[in-house]
Amino acid sequence: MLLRSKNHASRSLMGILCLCGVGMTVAHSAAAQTGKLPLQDLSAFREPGQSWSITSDASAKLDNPHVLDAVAGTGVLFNMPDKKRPGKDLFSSAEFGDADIELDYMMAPGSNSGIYLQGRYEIQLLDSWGTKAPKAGDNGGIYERWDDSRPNGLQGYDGHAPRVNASKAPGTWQHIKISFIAPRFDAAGKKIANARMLLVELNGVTIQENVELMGPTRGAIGGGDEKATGPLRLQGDHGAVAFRNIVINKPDVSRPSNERDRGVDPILVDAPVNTLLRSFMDVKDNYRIVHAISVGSPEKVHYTYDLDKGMIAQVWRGEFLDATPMWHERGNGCSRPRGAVQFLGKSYFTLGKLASPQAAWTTDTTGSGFRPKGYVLDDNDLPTFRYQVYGTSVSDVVRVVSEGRGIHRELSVAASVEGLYAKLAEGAAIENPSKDLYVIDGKSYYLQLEDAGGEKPVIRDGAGVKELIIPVRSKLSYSILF
Amino acid sequence: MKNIYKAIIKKTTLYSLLIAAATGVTSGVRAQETPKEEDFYKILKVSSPEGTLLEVGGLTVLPNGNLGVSTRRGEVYIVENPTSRKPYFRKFATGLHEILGLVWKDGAFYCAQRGELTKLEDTNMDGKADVYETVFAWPLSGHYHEYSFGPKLAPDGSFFVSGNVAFGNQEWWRGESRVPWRGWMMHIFPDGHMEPYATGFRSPCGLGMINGELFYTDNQGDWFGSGGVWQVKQGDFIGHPAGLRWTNQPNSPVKLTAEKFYSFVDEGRPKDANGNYTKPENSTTAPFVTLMDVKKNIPELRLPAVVLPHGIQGISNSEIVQIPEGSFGPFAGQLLVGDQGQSKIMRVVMEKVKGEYQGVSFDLRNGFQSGVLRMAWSKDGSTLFVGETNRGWGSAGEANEGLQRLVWNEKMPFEMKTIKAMPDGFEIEFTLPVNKKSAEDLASYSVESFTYKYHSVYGSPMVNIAKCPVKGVKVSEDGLKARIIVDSLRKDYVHNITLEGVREKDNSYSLVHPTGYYTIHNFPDGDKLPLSQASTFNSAKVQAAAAAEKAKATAKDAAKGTTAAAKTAAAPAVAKVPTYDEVKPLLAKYTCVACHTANKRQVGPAFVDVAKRKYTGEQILKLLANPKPQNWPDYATEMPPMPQVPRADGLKIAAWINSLK
Repeated sequence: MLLRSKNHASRSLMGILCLCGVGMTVAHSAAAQTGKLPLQDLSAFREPGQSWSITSDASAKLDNPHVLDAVAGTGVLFNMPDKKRPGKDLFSSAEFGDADIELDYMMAPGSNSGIYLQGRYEIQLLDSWGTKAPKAGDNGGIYERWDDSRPNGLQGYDGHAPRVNASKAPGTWQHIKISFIAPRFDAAGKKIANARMLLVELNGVTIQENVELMGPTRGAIGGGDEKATGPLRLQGDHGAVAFRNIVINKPDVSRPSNERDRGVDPILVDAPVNTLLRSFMDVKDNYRIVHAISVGSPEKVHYTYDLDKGMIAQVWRGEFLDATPMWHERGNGCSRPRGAVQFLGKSYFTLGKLASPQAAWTTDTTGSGFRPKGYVLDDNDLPTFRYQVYGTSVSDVVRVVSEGRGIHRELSVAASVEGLYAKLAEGAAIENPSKDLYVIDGKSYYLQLEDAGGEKPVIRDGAGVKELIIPVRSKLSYSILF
Repeated sequence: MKNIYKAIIKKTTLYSLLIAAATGVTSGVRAQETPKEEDFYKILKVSSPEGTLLEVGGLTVLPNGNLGVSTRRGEVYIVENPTSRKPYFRKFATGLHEILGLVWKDGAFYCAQRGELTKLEDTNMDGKADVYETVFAWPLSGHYHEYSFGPKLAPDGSFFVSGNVAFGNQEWWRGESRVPWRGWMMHIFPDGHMEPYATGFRSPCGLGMINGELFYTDNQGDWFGSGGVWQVKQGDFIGHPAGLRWTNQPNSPVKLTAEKFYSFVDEGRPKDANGNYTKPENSTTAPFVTLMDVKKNIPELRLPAVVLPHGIQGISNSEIVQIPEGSFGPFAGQLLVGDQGQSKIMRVVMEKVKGEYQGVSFDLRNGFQSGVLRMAWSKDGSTLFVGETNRGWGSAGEANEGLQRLVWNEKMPFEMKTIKAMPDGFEIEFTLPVNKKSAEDLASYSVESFTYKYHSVYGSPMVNIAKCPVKGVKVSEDGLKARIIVDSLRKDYVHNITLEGVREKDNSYSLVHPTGYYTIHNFPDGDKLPLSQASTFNSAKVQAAAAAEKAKATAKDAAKGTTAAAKTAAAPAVAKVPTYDEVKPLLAKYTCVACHTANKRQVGPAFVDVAKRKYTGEQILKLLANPKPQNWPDYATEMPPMPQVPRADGLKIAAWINSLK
C-alpha cells in the first residue's frame, strides 16, 4: 500500500494508524524492536515502577522466601517489591502481534509473576518447585479467565495447566520459549480468529501446544477487550522475579515440527512405581552414553547413571522416558527423558586418583581397575550401584529427596585409597554462598554437601570448566537440588 | 502252470509300468493325498496376559519345568506351568537393555544385554530379581546394529556371547567393528574375565551348545553368500573381515591380520567417479572366489559345517537346539535351527567325517506367526517352546512377535530321517519303509550341487550349479534305506538331493519334505557300491523312449493330415502361460520364495499383489535388476537386486505372476 501524502502530519498519522493496526487484519511489529531486548537500562519499558531495576545477576536463599538478592551491573531485569518500593507490572513501550518470545527468569522462593502477551494473555510464573500435579496457576500454566457473574467459586475458568511440572528450584535461571499468535480481526474490527499459544516450552519441555485462547486471562489490560497488538507485560506486583536474555521475534512460519515422529505412536515409559530402564542415552553435544541406566520415580524426579563412569549424567523433573527411538520398528537403542533436564557434565569419572590436588582429572580407566558390578535392588526396587576401582569396592546410592526437590547421593568406599577424590560437579561457574552449599554453572542447580567425611571440598579450574572436588576416604553424601 | 502265471504277471507288470510311464506316473500305483507338515506338528499358542508384548530374545527351561522368557523391552518373565491351559506369568526382572539370550545356572539367570552379561538373582525369594550383577561389560560404539547374543553355557560353566558388527555411516552396507569385540565370540568366565575366542562373525544371532561343542548360525550379508551352521573353535576366523581389526590385541587367539587377509582377497570397496565409496554389487561376469578357494591360503578360515541355502533354508538363521532323546520320534538327537525371516524351523543332521562336521538340512515346519528367534524344550520333552520376533525386519506370518509351542502328535511322518555321505554317493534313511519300485527307480532322485561366492557384496546367488548324475540305487531289505551312487560330487559344495518320486510303502505317500541339502566336506573311507549290486532302472528313460515313439507316430499322422493326432503331439508349438509347477523350481533357484508367496504377504508382497500392478514382462525384468522399494512403502525390508536372473527365466516368472488373480 503506497501512502502518498505531501503533508507531513498526515504521513505520521498514517504511520500511527499502521502501528495500531486499524484497517489491517494482521499487524506486523513494524516499529517494534525485534531481537534481544537491551537491558542496560529500563528505557524499553513504559513508566517502570520502583520495584524494577537493572542488575547483572540475581540469587536466592532457599530458606529466605520472597527475596532475591541483586548483583550490581547490567543485563538483568530485576524486580524486588518491598514496603518502600511497591510492586507494579512492567510494560514494554513497543507493541506486538504475533510473537516468538524467549527469555530466562528466576523466581524467589514462594514467588509469583507472569508474562502477559499483549498485556492480556498470561503465562503464569510461579515457584512450583516440587509440585507433583501442576494446575493452571502453576509455573507455565495459561492463567484462568475471570467472570464475576459466574457462580461463586467458579468465577475463575478456562485456565490451562502445563502438561508437566517442568519447574526448577527457585534461585535458578529457568528458560521459557513462547510462540504466540495474536487474534485476527476483519475490516470492521470484529474478531474472526482467537489468539493462540502456539507453543510454550519451559526448560526444554513442551508444556503448552496450540492452545486456543477464547478470551483474555484474568487481570488483562483493556478491560476485557482484544486487539491486534499489545505490549509485553511482566507481572511485578506479586513477588520477586528477575529476567534476562529477553528475545522477541516474529514467528518463524517455517517452524520445524517434530517431523521425524509424525505418524508414529509414541512408546512412553512412565514411572508410577520406581522403574529402571537401561538404554543408550544421548546427552549434550551428541555424546552417547552406551552403558546408561535411567531410574524413574513416582515423585517425578528421575536420573540417568553412567555405569562406565560411576557418574550421574543428568537429572530431570517431569515424566520418565520416551522409548520410541529404541522400541519402534528396528529402533536405535536410545531413549529420551520427558521432562526438564539438568545435565550434570560431560562424561567424567566420579571417583579419580589424583597425584596432587591440582592434577588434571582422570580421563580413562588405565591403571584404575575399574569394573562395573551392576546393582542390587532394595524392597522398593531402588538400586544401589556397585563397582570396583583402585582395588576397592564402591557402592553408590541415589535417592529422591523429599518433595521431589532433587536427589541425594551416598557414596561408600570399602577400603581407603590414597589420593582418591570425588568430582562432585563441574560448570561454567561454581559459587559457595554458604557453608556446604554450592550453586553450580551460573545458578543452574544447587549442590548441598551433607557428609563430607571430614574432608574439605575444593573449587578449582578444570579443562575449560570449574570443578568441585573433594578427597574421599570412606563416605561421602550430598544432594543435588534442581 | 506256475510259469505261465509268472509270465503273465511279468508281462502285465511290464505293460503297467509302460502305461504308467507313458502317463507320467513313476510308480505303479497312483499316490493318495500326501499328509503335510501340519498333520504331524501342531503350532499352539502359549496364552499370556492381554497386552504382554513378547518380542522374545531369550528362552530357557528351568530345572523345575518353568519357562524363562526374556524380551526386547528388557523384561524377564518366569512362566509357571507353561504347557498347561493357564500358564502363569511372573515378571522376574525389568529394565534391561534388549536381552538376546537367557540361560539358568545354579539358581540364577544369565542373559546378554546390549552392553553386558548380567546375572539376575532373587536372593530374598519374593519372586523378583534383586541382584542385577554385571558379570562382564564389553565396549559398544552405540550403533544400533551392535546386538549381543547369548549366552550359551559351556560344560565347564563358562559362557559364550557373540557380538554383531556395526555398519558404516556412509558405507551403510559394510560391516565394521568399531570397538572391541564386535564381530567376535567372547568367552566369559564366572569370575568375570573374558577371553576373546574367535572372530569373523557378522550377525551371529543363533548360538548352540551341542554335546558340549559350540556352534552358531549366521545369515546372508556382506562376505556371507548364504547362511549356515558353523562349528566354532578357539582361534577360528569365520569369514567377515571386520573383526580382524583386533587380532593384534595381546589376548587374541586369532593371529590373522586384516592386511594379510586383503593380500589374498579383494577388499571389494568400489569408488565412483567422485572418489566416493559405492555399494558393491554382484557381477554375473567377473571372476570370483569361494570360501574353500581362500581357505587354501588362510587355514584358520572355518567353513560352515552345513550350509543353509539362502532363501530356501531360511534367510536369517537363528538358534540351534538339539531334540532330546525321546522327543519328536525318529528325529531325537537331531538339531533344529530357527529362521527369523521365513518364520520356520529346519532340521539339521550332522555327522563327523574324517574329523570334520558336515551334514544335511531339511524343512521341518513353517507357519509360525513371526520370525523364529529362540527355542527351548520343555522339561518332559513333549513341547518345543518357540520365541518369536522379527525385530522390525519383515517376516512371514501375521505378527511382529509371539510365544508359541510346537508339539508332535506321535504320528509317524514319511520323511528322510537323515542323509549320510558315502564314499561314492549318499545313503538316505527313511522314517517308514519305502515302496521299493519307486525307490529303485533312478528317476525318483535328482542331485544337483552348487556353492556361493565369497566377496564383499551382500550375499551371493548360487553359482557353479551342476547336475550330479545318479547312477544306481540300492534299497535295503526292510525298505528303510536307499543308497545312491552319485557322480560329480564336489567337496565343500552344497548338494540338493530331491526325492520327488519316492513313495511310502503302505499308502504311497510322497515325502513330507522331499529335499535335503547336504554339504560335503569329506568323503568317508569305505567300500564303494558296485553298480552291479544296484538298480539302474530309470523310468524317465523308458518314458522318454515311449514318448519319442509316440511323437514319431503322431508326426506320421500329422503328415497324413490327422489333426486330432497332431493335437496330442508331445510339445505344443504355442507358448502358453507357465504353470506353477514349471516356475516352482525357478522360484526356489532364484530365492524368490525367501520373501514371496503367491497369495500371502510375507517379507515381500504376495505375487497376486504384484500382478495387480500390471507390469509388463520387461518392466518386471528391470525391477528384478533394480527394485524400487518406494513402490511398496508398507514393507520394512527392501528387496535386494537380483541381476543374476537370466532373461528367459525372468520372463517366465513374470508371465506366471501376471497370470495370477
